[in-house]
Amino acid sequence: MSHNVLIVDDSMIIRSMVAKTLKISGLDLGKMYYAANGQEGLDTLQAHHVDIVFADINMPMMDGIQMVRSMAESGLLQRIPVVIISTERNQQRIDQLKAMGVTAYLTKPFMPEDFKDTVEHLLAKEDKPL
Amino acid sequence: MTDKALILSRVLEKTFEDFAFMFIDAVPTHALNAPEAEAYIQAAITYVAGQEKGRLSVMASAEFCRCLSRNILGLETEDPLDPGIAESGLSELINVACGSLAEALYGTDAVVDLEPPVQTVCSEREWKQFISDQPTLVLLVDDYPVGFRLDVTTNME
Repeated sequence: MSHNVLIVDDSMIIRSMVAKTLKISGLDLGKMYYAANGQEGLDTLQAHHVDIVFADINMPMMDGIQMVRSMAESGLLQRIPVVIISTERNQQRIDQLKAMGVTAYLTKPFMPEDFKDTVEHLLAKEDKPL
Repeated sequence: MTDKALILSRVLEKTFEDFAFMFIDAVPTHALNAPEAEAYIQAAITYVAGQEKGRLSVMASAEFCRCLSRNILGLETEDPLDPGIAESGLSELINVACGSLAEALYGTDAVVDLEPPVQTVCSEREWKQFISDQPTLVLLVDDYPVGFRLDVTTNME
């Protein structure tokens, strides 16, 4: 089954880097969507079917924490796994995001191997029978 | 070199290695008198950590920005590079460096609020002024001179 992916980051180079790493990670990719801030991310989620979200925290207009909070309130976070990729290192904020329902957290700069492990872990969870 | 400058230098060395597979050297004098570049780019990020407010900025030639972005993405020289992506490499570098710097200066228990990086195009005169300013740390990254500056103020000041 192919997976539609949404990458939310204000940095063009990070969007490109995540997309490139995804292509070599073994994930069966469907459509790839891009957003430059949390609001654009929410708009994309309203308009398209998305299976996995990769998002930054520190973005203009609407940051990643506000986007995740909005996804939790609308029930989207229960259905769509979110992986945060950020420079944020405050443990309290990371724990807060995980408590809200964020699936995984990667610190920039991430190693492609760590990224691949995270994606494989996500896929393994999906493959488990209910 | 102050404690903060030393920490910044170590953070930058590791950031370049981990993020872009690039390496830092001391700057020989002739590098600072290098021929004029076609353009210079400055990227800056501000943060607030308790009573302290910091601004970390970097300035380099547009050619260095293209080289940096190619390295971040693992592209060869002949591979096409979108101009928008080429320019965004410097902002992302300073974003990543600031995250590491915040951890090195304040630890992981402190709440540090980072603003999104801001990028501007600068003139040759601004470049020369930037690298000659006393607090600027000039490094040679894969043969390109790159200037970094950390300004920290406290609410008490």
